[in-house]
Amino acid sequence: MQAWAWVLAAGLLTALPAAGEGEVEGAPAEPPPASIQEAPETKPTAPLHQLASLLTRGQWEVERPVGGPRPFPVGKRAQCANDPEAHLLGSSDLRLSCDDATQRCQVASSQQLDANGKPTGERLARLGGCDSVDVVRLHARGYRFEEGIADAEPGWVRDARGRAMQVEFDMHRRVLLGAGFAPRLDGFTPDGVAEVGLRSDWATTHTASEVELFRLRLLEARYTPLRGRLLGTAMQLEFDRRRSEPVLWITTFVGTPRRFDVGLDLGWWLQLAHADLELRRGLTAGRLLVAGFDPTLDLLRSQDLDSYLRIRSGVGFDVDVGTKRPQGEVHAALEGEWVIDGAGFHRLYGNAIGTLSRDFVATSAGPRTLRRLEGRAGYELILLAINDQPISALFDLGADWREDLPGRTPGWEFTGQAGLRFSFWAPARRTPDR
Amino acid sequence: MAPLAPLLLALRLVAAFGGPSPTGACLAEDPVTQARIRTCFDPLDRLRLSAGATIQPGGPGFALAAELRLRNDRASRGDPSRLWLREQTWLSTTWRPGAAQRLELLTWRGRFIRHVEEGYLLVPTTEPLRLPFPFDVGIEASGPELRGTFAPGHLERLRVGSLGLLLDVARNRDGRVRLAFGPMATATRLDGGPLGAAAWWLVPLTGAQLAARFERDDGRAHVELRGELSRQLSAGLPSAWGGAAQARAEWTPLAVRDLPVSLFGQVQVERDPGRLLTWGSTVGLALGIGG
Repeated sequence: MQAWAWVLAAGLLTALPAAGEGEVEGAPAEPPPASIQEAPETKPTAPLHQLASLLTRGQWEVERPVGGPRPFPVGKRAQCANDPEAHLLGSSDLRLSCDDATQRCQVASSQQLDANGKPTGERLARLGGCDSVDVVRLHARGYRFEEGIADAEPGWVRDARGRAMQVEFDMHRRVLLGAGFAPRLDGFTPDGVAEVGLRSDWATTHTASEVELFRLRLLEARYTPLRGRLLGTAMQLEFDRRRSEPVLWITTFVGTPRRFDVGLDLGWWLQLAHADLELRRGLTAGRLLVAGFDPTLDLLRSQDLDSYLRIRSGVGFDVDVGTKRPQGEVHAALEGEWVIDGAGFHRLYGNAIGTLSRDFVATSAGPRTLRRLEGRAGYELILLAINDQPISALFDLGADWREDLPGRTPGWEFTGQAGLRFSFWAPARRTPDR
Repeated sequence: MAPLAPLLLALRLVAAFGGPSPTGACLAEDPVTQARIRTCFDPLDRLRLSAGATIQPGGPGFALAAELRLRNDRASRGDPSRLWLREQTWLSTTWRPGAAQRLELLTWRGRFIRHVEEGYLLVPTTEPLRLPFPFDVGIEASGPELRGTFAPGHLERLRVGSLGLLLDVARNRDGRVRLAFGPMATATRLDGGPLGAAAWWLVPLTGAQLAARFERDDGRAHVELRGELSRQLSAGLPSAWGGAAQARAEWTPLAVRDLPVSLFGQVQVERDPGRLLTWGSTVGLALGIGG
């Protein structure tokens, strides 16, 4: 280009507005970077714009980083540009992530690429919100461009071809099928285990600090065939709540009045049709909890209520399956579930439950009171995902002591479990790791 | 007029269920009258009423059946190329009158396949590793299913429910071609039979299911196969094999008021644990309402 043209171009371009356009796609925008905010609101006239584009043609360059394109920074709102003249990457529809301090932009096509790196014409899926920018003006202001991998919705990442993959999973929302090895550990008797069930939860956010959460478990069953133990639950519903105001607070008037909040994180737990059966040769024993209701008190919990350690205690109405006698029960439990990492790949859970059940109708020997103690603790780890459906490994230890089973001397029994679970659905977490 | 009232009401109902208006390639023109003719149907999205002659070990007979089938799909909100293919069967009822009368009722069965353009297996390493995976993944679940007679106490079989995983190798975007298989779990109560007392039989993912279908683009012919084979366990009884398979072929040679009338042939084979293998075949006519 001739020197006079450079001078003219520089003069024109300094008169043009800078990057920010103020147009917004998708979710509400974060405040744009300082230099973008400083940009004048007026839009360039079309001839000037075209002239700038014309004068800078041939100067466009997209660098390829050493080691290949890198993903856009996680958590930073992306920018998008419609450049009809396709100055960058030969694409008119672009995603960018610009750093105003270094005046560098990562840029990616909004189209998916084929195995040869050519655009397929298919727009990228799972794109997040973006702020509109003008690449011509960015270029005129001296921004440099390098190839990047476009942004994706929270919980998803993109490969170099732009294909989205889910990398965070909400294991509280899934249909699960599981199978594994579940031996009795006292004496080591091998056994298998099969599990099915549906879990879901839904949260209602009233204010930023006030959240209500319902957790649902539906048609869950766990069966160990050789031992003949069947645990099944038709429905379990729980309610938990994070309040913006504490349930009660205490004010002291000794000296300067002071307020002490007492955070009673109360909720409730409801179970309908829970069967705990031992199906043995010629004998079916165990109990069917027709309905049980407990208030719960969280001892520890995460901000999003996904993880908790709590105590609960309440009453239930049972039927002794062997004798068909109706019973009432009181029970108390310490239980918890903890998602260790933000992506939901590691989950710890455990419970310890004590139950006293008593016949409503006395037998000739008088009413029976039967005791039962049981506990489980386990760890679940996502190994891989097939078409965004996770497969996880489960390691679990259990113990129980019960005197409600005929033919079984009260004593401790220990079981272990190592198995795999296939989880269907399992969307990205509501509050993923970012 | 009064005796015709139920018929008129039925015709109005039929007209109301006439299904969506056909468009484009699904419309033809009669060469003589130039009337517009509907030429496409959806055999999996209709109320299906059928009657047919049966052949079974007890001798010939006939069967009446009704079922509501619903098929739709929904694109994933964040990725329109990913589809949830949903097929449901509601209140599938078959009645075989006569001396050996029998009623079969399936309350609900749903099949939910997640179709992706490029199946993959993600290994969550620091840089997630994406490997090709040649299946669509889905689940099939069913609600209570019973078989018995109208007489009290004559419930031969009650399957409380089932849940299974499906891997679909056909990966067809509109679900017209399917070849899917996978493990399944069921819980069934069987009464009577050579075993005498009633017994619960469980399939703790020790069963496999197969679902195959081929459907012409215009929906006027399709072949469907469904089968399962399982090792079933029961308290106090030795484990046993059980299984069932049903194949159906249907062809639509004509339509009345744009409602498809089909010829169908169906064969089913079934064996419950500890029982003899039973089989039956049916040939008949089916009317589709909607779809």
